[in-house]
Amino acid sequence: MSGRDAGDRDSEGRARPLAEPSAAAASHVLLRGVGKRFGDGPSVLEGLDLAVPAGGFVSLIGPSGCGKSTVLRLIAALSPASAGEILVDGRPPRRGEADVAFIFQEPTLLPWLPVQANIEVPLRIRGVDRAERARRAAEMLRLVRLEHVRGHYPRELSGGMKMRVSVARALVQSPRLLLMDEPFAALDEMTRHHLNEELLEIREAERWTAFFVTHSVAEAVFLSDRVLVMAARPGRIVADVPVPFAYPRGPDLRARREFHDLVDHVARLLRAGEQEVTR
Amino acid sequence: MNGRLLRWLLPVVGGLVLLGAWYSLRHVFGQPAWLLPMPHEIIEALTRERALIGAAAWQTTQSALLGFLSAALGGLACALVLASSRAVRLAFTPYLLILQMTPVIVLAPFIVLWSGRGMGSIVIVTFIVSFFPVVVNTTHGMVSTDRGLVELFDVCNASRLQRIFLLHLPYAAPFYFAGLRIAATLAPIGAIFAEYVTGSVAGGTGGLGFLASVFNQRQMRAELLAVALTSCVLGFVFLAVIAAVNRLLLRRWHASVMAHDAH
Repeated sequence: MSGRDAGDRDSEGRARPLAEPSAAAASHVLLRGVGKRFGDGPSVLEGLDLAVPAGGFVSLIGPSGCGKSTVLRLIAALSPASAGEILVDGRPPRRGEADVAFIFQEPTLLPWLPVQANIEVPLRIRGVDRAERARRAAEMLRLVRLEHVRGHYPRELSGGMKMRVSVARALVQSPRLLLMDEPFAALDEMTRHHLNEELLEIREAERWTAFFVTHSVAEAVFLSDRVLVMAARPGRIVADVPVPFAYPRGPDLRARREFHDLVDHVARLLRAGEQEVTR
Repeated sequence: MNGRLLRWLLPVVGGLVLLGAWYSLRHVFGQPAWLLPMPHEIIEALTRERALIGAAAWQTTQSALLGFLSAALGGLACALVLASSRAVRLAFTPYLLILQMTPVIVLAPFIVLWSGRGMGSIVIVTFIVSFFPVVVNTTHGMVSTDRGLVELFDVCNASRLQRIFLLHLPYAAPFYFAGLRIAATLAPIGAIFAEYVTGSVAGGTGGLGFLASVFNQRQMRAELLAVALTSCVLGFVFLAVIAAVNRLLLRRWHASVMAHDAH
């Protein structure tokens, strides 16, 4: 955690105020007054304003049903917004953009394909030729340290390994925007810590913009440069907390006093948001 | 006791119990020979008429195989159409069911009317009988494809064809084979039934079904049961072949296949 790195990141990784007129131009992802309702049901999301610069790492945290996952689905254009405007690279998002990748809560691997073929699936869909697919998949296998199981089938892997395959499959398209919907929620804490550290290591080299949905405050603080605390009914952002720790971050961060203080702070905001709803 | 040994031993024990019950029908309850032939009499009849029964079995095998293969292909094609859209499923599933509910014995005269007595009609009846389990199972498999996997293909904006060939078809493969297993047991029965009602001596021996009707008319009951025994063996062979193909193709794919095979 050198001072030089901290300086680098602070200039481009920090949250920018929304009111800034150049927000649209400088933002990789921009949400203005975004709302979502399904059919005639109640609002799932209401009045979402958010600007995330390229290379930013934003975590969304909040109670179940606050629409965290829906935010990701809207940005990926898997589902249309009912109100407001979403811009990705200054344009409304389109489903299936090559530089947007999604990591789901489940590893969602095709059980009939070995690991390497699974990683190649997005490239296959996009019509990348066989040799190039194999080259890029091999690169990803190295990145997530799974070269030794390239020929294994998903059912032969542990939960953590399956999730790493899933991460590799998302990264194989060299995305600029990575949307992660509680990817490590089903894993034990040790494995989750490892994967968190690996994810940040990979990010050092790849520098995508990240949206990360999680239920774990500690995970959100460890990974991101900004934590958005959401409340439910309707889903909305109740707090926007910058995380001041410089990248690269290692496991030692979890032992630091400031880290724990910030986790406590976010946890209090989360509880306050929930109480507001129940009242 | 060793589980593997039990799995071999218990069927043998069961068989001996049933054989004992069979013989006791004559020796304890005094059933006359013409009412129920005893197992050794059936084996004798089978040995005596082996040329006739063997030729008939071969004839039936060909019809059953043709009917089964056309059901395997036709069923898959039909499932692809049904799985392509919910609207198509809603529009046609009821009529598919009605066709399935219709007794084949009612359809058989029409089939004979259209394609004459002989192998053509027999293959068509076999097809109708073994077609439905293939369609129903395969469609179910394709439609029930894991939602997470579908979303993955959504995110990648996969085309309809890519979804079918890279996702839905492989996902449905174990379901397809489950349908084929049922079809494989139905196909010989369907062929024999069709031979019984539509078959003639025209193209060769007329198959096991025709032979059964001949033995029945001549009141050759041990020979009749020898035909039944041969049909059972034929059904087992069909099933064993499908199970082997299934194992060969899907062994490395789905955990569900392995779990199923363990039973």
